[in-house]
Amino acid sequence: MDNSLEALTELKNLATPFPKNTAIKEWQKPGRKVIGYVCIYVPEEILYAAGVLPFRVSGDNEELELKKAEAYLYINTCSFARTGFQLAIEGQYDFLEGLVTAETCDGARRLHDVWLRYGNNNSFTHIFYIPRKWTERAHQFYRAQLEELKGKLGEFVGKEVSDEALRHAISVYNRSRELLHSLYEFRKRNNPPITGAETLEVVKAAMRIPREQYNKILERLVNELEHTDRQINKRVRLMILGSILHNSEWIKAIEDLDAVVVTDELCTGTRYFWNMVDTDLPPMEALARYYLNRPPCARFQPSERRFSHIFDMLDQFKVHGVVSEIVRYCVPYGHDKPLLKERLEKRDIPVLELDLEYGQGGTGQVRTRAEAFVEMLQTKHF
Amino acid sequence: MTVATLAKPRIQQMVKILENILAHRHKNPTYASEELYYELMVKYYRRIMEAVEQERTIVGHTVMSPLEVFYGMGIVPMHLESTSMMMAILLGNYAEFFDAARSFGLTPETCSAHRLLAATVIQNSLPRPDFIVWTNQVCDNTSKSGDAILDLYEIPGIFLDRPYRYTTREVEYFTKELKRLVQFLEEQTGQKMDYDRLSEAVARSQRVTELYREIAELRRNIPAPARNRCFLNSMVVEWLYAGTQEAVEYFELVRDEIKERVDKGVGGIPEERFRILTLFLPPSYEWKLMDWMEQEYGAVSVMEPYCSWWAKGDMDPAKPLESIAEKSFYRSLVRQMHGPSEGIIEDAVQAAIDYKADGSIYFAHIGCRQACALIRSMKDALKDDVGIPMIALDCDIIDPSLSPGEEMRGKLEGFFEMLEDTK
Repeated sequence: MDNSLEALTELKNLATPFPKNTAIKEWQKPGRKVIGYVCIYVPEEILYAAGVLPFRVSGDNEELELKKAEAYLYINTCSFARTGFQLAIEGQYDFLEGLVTAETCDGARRLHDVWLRYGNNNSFTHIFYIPRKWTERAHQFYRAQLEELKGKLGEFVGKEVSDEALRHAISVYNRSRELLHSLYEFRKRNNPPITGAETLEVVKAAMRIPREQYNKILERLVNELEHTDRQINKRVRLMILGSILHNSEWIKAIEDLDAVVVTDELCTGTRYFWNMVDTDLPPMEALARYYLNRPPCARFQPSERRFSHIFDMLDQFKVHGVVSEIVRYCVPYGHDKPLLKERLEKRDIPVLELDLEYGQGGTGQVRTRAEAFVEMLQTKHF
Repeated sequence: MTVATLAKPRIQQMVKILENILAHRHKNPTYASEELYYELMVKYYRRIMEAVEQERTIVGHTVMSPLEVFYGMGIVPMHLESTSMMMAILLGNYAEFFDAARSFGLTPETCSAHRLLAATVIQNSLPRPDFIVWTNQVCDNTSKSGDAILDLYEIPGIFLDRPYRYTTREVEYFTKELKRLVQFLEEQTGQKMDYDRLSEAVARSQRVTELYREIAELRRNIPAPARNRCFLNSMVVEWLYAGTQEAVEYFELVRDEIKERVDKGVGGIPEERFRILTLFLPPSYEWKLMDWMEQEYGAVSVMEPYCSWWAKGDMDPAKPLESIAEKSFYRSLVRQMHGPSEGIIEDAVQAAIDYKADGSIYFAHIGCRQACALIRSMKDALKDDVGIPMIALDCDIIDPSLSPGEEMRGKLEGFFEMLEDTK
């Protein structure tokens, strides 16, 4: 019996081929613009309110040969940045009419630098700083940065981005958040109806296809999950955390064992959609508050706030073990690693630490180590 | 061993070794500024040693933290990366420190300067500061290394969030960060900031900036009037002494020495053959490489756009915190390392023209992602806009095991031969 989720299949079809997918081709037919963004601290609502489709620059389900990118970005640039640039220099991102980068880490900012110099001849480019703190000053500063972005986008599209358009965008994006929260609720079940690999495909699609179209399919998916008797009958419940991750095959390889990934602390997971934008606040204020207060990545200070989100996820999703994946040369996560490990050990949560290249699959040593880890957790819990 | 038993003898050992080097320098004099450099190193670490002994307040801080504020508060600063690096160099215990960092869980991809720093803390080798100040002014490593130190020492700390672009808004934001720093220091020490003393420190910092620029002007001369060591020593002095009279006196001496040579029409080395633009920093364990370049190939570093170049900007003692904040956007190393690439590339191209460089050496420190990411951009810009070649020399800024000096010398020999052929 075919046990696939119909709405998920539809989402995946729309979001392929990568990166210029079916949905984007349709979007661009009447001349509508697509702008790429680097890092989730670029509020998609502002682009959407400007009539632009935001598309997150990334790789996908495979580890690419990065030789062309390495001619421009040194080998010690993280492989996420090199992958993004590899695709750009191959012309695969030529459908983007602009690039907006949140200056969140060294990799992101140098990707932006090199993209400007050697990459696509984009008519719109912008980079802005994201504070590393959550003070009131930081919020005000971040909001001012967003106002500047909004103004520049308005000039680019030839129309001021109105509060009304922003409110509409917030309601559309909040609807996605609401639905993704619902989807994650199913993962709290003892035998969740959806895998971690499938969930990653769902979240990735949010950043790659028009949002209203996405919401309609996501509504169907949530409805399907509500009524399905589908169950992932794996005993070991895992959480994935760490650097940026797009390769769902990597998660699938772990889930081929007696394990299911039930939650995460990824910028392609909970950190992307957790909580809601406050619709009672003026829209730009609301966006600044929401985005800066998202469950943070490792570049923020202090790290404890990131750790709190992780512990919250562990408790809510009844996690047995954590898989910590760090892309090589991803410095912020590398620094957090020993501190987090110590705290997880105190909570008696075992950690599998994997240093990877971005896009790497789940074969070879990764699989061997994951097998041993899952076996250890089986012994510990069952 | 406890903090008191290991850190104290190690800092004492450092001071002793530095005193021996200084004594050797006095017996075998070269330039007066080189002797003064070692005098200042002895003085800096002796002051830390004495602060430990007398239980005076020590502020540990990462690179490019606002020294003027610390001197204004009358507390003893300890430059965390420099102190741990100097400890490894002088005591020769790289392996012990890197092993400790590995055991702690830091991966080799983490910048070695910060692994070393974490290790000296884990090993209780570094004098325990009363609190720390750390910033993101150079890279992700500087912004993250404070976490482990706070955790390991269980001391308070404050992180200074310095934005990316040089705009009025970003300067204002950083100024407010500095105001919060003053508040933090007052809370920690129970003392009030002495704003007169702070303004004096800012005035001296401005004087150092002016001297840096004056020296940069003099260095345009042919033959190059400064030795390669000069820029490295100057950089370290500014890192440790910005805002002090010692720094002013050191840079005045350097200026006077260089001016004297310019007036006499002589170079810093006997025979200049190649004028080199030095990009980023040579490995700390192999500064002798710069001596070797001079001696063997007459290769003299005429300008260092990363670490000797100060863009436009001045400090106003009447607005000390605003001035310190603004300085972080035009000062050497920070503008280049934590700013958009256009700035450093334009600076390097202009320097290559102004200083009539024959070629360029880029020290590709494997742990430094943001500097290395610009190697190709820099190489193309220097070739296309100035017509000079560049060699990227793979190395690690601290760890001698990655790229021994012999290997780097071998690569440079080929580069100088190529330069010779093209002359």
